[in-house]
Amino acid sequence: MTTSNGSRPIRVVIADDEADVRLLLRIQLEHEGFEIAGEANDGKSAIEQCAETQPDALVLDLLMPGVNGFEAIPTLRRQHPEIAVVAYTAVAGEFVRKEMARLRIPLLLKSGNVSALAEKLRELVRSA
Amino acid sequence: MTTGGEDDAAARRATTAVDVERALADVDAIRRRVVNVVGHALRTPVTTMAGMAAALATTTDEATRATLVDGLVRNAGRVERLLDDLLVAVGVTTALPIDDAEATPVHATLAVAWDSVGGTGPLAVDGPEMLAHVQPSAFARLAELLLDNALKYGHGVVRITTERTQLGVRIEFESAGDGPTDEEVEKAFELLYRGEHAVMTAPGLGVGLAVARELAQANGGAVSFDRRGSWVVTTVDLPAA
Repeated sequence: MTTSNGSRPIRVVIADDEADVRLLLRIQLEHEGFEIAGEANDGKSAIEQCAETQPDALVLDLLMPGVNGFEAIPTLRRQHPEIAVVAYTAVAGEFVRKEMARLRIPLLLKSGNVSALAEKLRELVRSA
Repeated sequence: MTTGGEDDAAARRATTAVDVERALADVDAIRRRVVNVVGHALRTPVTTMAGMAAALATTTDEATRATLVDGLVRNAGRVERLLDDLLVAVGVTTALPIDDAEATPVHATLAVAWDSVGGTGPLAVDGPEMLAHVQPSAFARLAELLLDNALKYGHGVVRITTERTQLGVRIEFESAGDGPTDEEVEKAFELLYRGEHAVMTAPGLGVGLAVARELAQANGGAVSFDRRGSWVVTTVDLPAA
């Protein structure tokens, strides 16, 4: 079991507008021992889910309709500085890379293999 | 010593060489843009399929396995549609639908398309139900593309209006948004063009409107794109049955 402090699993909110990406991440992360605290399909509902479920970490897609990931980050940082955020995107051009580096948010490219994401989540929660 | 004529010829050759070099650089930039956009559009469904296939191999729970198989089929279909769209967008006629044109209900087709692009709740259509004389599969794809655009790039409010015109059937797809810029209106049908708002909102190919237009034209219709205040309006004209 992947635990945040040795006693309970790391709780994660998944924010992605693609239902199949959320479905797959839920299956993969649960298989890795994480607990999925909630799902969101845009930045606004990601903020709401974080307020409601108080997860340890948020997997955040950047390109989403409505409030996108970039726009959600300042609010998340202000309201929930304790929640570790990992940007998880299919598109990572120069702007995205620079912006995430500036905000000190780890950036991972979407992949069929969840190992890198799982490891990054564990590392961030451990070091929090 | 060279003559004036030789100087002119040399200057023309130099100019031609510079032009050729610029043209080659433009072609190279376009080639990179195509690979970049297509690669990114394929990335999500392909990585999703890879992940689902791997999860399927390690999952024994029957309900989860069934969910994963459904997901694999769905994403394979998505890749298939991406490839068809690309071919249609660049005018490959062999990729156009081959079913026969027939009397096709407009409202019913829009409702099915709305459901397939993940629209929530019933789609509100203002105007009478009408029959268009079109290939059902082409009309279905056209409706999916335009509703998907309206959902992805608007503010979640989509209005559909249908009306009979002198030439046939007119359908207007309106979505609330920030209003497209002049450049976005001008380049809406340009292959692989994606405005700043689109780039920041969702991954995509930037071929949806071009494909919709090809499908409409193949059925004797037309597609236009404009703004109405802060709303984005895509108008489709099709022959009536």
